[in-house]
Amino acid sequence: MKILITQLMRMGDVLQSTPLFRALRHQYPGATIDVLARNLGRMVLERNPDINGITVYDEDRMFQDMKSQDADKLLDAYEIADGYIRGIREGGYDRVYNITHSIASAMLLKLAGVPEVVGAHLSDDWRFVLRGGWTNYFFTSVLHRDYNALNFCDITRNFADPSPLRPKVVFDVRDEDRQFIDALLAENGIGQNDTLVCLQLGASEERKRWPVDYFATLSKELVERFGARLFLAGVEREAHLGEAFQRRSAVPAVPLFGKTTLPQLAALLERCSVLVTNDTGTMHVAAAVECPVALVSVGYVHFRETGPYGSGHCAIEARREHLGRVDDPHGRVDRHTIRPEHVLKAVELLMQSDAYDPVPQIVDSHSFSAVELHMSRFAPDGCLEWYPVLRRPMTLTNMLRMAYRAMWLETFGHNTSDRAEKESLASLLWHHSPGGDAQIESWRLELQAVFDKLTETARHGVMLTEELLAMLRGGKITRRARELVAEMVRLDEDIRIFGELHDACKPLVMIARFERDNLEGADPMHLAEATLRIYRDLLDRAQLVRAKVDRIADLWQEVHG
Amino acid sequence: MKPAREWLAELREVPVPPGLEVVEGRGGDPTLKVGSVLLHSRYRPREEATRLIESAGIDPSRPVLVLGTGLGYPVLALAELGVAVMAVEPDPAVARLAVEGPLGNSNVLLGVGDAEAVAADPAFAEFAGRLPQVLVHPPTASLHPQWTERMRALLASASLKRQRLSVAVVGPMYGGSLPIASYLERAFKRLGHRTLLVDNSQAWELYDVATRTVKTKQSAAELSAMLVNFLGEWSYARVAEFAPDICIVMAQAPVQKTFPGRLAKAGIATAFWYVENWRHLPYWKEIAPYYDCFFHIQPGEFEEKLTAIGCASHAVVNTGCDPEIHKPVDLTPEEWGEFGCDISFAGAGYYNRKQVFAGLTDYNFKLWGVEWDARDLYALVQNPEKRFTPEQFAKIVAATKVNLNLHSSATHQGVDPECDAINPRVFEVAACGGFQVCDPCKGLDAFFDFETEVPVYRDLVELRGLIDRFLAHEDERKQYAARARERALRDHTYDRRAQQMLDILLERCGNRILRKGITVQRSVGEVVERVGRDTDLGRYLASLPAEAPFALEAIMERLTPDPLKRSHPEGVFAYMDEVRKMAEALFAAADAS
Repeated sequence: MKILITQLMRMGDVLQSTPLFRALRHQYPGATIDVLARNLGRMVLERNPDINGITVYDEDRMFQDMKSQDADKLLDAYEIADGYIRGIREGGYDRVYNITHSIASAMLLKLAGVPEVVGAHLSDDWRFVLRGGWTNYFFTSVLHRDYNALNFCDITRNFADPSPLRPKVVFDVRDEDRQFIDALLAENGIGQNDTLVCLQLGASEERKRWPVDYFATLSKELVERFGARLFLAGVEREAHLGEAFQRRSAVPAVPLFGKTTLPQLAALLERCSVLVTNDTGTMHVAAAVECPVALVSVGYVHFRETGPYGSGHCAIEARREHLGRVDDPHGRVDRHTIRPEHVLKAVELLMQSDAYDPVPQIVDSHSFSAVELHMSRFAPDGCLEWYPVLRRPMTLTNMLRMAYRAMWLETFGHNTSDRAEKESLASLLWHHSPGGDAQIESWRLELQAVFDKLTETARHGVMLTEELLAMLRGGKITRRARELVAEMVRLDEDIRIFGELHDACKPLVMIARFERDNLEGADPMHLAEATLRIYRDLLDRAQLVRAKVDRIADLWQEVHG
Repeated sequence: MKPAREWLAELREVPVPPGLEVVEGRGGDPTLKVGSVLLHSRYRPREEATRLIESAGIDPSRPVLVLGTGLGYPVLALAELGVAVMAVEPDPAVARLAVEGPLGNSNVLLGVGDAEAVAADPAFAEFAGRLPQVLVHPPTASLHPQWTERMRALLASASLKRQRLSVAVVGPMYGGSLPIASYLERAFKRLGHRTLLVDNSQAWELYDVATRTVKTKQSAAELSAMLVNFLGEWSYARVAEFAPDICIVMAQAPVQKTFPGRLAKAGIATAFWYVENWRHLPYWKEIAPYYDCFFHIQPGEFEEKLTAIGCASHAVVNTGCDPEIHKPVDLTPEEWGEFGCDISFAGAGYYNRKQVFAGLTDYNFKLWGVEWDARDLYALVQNPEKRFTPEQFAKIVAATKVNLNLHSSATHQGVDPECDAINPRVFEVAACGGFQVCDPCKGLDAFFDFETEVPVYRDLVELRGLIDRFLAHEDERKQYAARARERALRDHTYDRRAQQMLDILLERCGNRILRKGITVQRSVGEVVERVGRDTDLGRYLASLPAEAPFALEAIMERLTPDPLKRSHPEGVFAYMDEVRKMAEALFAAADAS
């Protein structure tokens, strides 16, 4: 068995894909597993024991060559592109897992003639399509982020069969990396027993960056309260942030911008008590070496999707109605809403608690009214969950997010037992403050009505499609068949508008539309059968979300009654 | 230009002046002294040559032109590295000593003497086409600074002459220079260059409405300034994205004074083509010094004025004709009815034209164009206040027995005796195969023969005489027209003008363009030869027009629409295009953040 994984995103994305590599290695112990990744991901892959080979994909050079408008460079770009295609073809892969959401990556695999592609690929008629439940979810969850409670690691690792291994991000640290850090500590007069805290000031975009001033204020507290010795992590081009930090900070920090390799940084993080960070690749490295992370989640960052994968991390977020919406496109408001004292509390909790203990609780107060604090644990359903540290009233969004999580895990066959589901839901409900029973009941009724209506519409679609299929099986394309197709087109439009009007069912509508767009082939019988499956899935899922909402409302009484 | 050892016989006769002497070096190798200047190290001239090559950052895989041989040590060091070398030396006496000494057995191509003479040698042009690096022998440069600079300029010019360059033309929103902008851009394209026309005429309608519909002149002026400023930024963005080697800005183009400076920072050579009469429009004073070259159409007094305001580089480049547009056309009966007449004029109603043409109203006379508000002429005006297209112009010319041409003047009653700005109409009518009579603009006799190609008149009486004579003699008319057309197509096309501009710009700015680095332009046919006809890519490219540019956009335009029917190379190009689109979208998103 020869497997190729194409992961052409950034370093953090490569790290988030490592649980999939681990699951595949478990599923196919004797297989050759290669990865096609950008140069940024190579260092991550070199420290991954689950893969055999790495091919570096230099899309940037290809783009620069094309952009140069130079004929000779265009020819170079052609040769590079052709080289990748031939390389994959000659690799003789039986299956490719494409976890890059791009038409270009799908075209690459199509041109290479890979027999089986899981993830984004091109159909036989060269349309961009996604196959499989988890694949569709992977690509559509970003469109309804408010209701997504699953980390990308949990989604992508499910591309492989369920594995009994403890899921984790993988990055091996070697003795030579640790020796480098020993020398670094000694050079800076830092003892083996000193408390180390690492700060990651940068992020890929400014809107994802917490103010340097706040980092400086926080540092003073870290030194005074914990006697912490501070390090500033980052790449060379972020050194200016370090300079700004040093100008504003009353306490010293060791700047490491561009001075460590990724493995050396991992070795440092292995020794740190906490990493305080924006949403960055460093955060995933810390998660891999089990360094507790205090993630300052600003801008369009969604910590449930892309936060550090593992138990015992903390995410601090400004309280907001929706995630990643355009009302604050530059994240200016929440960047300043999260104050140093909020992050200090998160660090304090991380220092004082064990990753496998129950999530600690703090008393809500006015000073925390503008923020949310969550801590990560693996839930009984086997996936990562973020539990509120501040117990607050249940919201409709939270209720739906829980219902959807339970529904997707059941639908896509994650093998979650009924008991595990119940425990997962109950545990999360417990982390909300009691009261508001009438509100919960009101939401139950409201959501029942919405999902009943969607169920009814989906059932109509099933009936229309079954009638059409019967006609096709009879070999007759009659006027009625054409009427049925027209009616199905109208029905699809009705479903889309229903999703627009009722945000609660948008995830179901969205994925159904994606599945419709992903229909492959031109055989009417095959298309009708696939359409029937989509309507049935929609029907089943709508009923299932309704049932999960019911269960949550019932459990609310059990937990808080 | 010949191998160094073959120079020996010729140079042996060159006298060696008293100040020039070969001195025995302390390390054994001879060195050369000119007055008190040593041309090589007294100790280790060979090591010095090696260090010179290293410090110049010479890439041994590319050819090198050595400016100044001295006794030839740097030349020999390069040859020993296997580098393709050519050397030139300004002083024949130094060259003699070099070939009598270290270069005596060398096959390195050597040129000696005057820069122009060396550069005129075909072998030099051939070598320059390989885009050589330049290694300057520093003592030679300090002894002959002007020769060195001239040699550099000639090399840059010769190097770039064989390259397909990228040329942007920025057009105006309206007016006479608008069609010329597209003629020029097409001419550069026909010469094999990659081109971009920044077409500001798309904004004319908005500009016209915005400035016409407000009540006060001040409002109109403010709106005009805002729109011109906006278009200037748009033009800059288009040109900067295209990243040309050369940018030519047409008269009236809406760009700011800072425009050429911004492009120069990116190594782009800039020129302005002022196809206006400097006496009528004075804005040239504001802009001319900022461009690398200021092209205009009036020799003489204007050139002195330009020099006086600090415009260091200016040159006369006249307008011309575009044979694809300005050509004889066949007319339908309806078109004969619309355009046919004995005499006509197509152009704007300037003051002197109204005065002169008022004396021709007794002829079968049609007037085309705008601003013909004179009462005596109004009845002759076709499509009042509407501009005619180049295609309509060709029909007007074809349907007219005697085409009138009169250079404009806002002050003279009739023919302007001082006029020295030849209008494009004279070339365009000739190329369209029309017969024309014209006033004798200064310098026009260098472009057309008045006795056999374009007859001229000095006043209304002479004009009427010419009209009567040629209306009566169709054969004679046709002979004049045929000769004028032949002359126009031979000497006065925009291709010629574009080449003239390139020659001037490359000589003046070639070094800068080379420093910036040029993008290699190849035709599909050339790439087929390069990759081989028996390869997948070669076979596919051979199915495309050989003269088509080998550029992603050009290939994507020709891609088989059905992806299922595409060949492997087509699939690869489609994939590359997708990578390009995705990367551009990511960059745009990053810029937005």
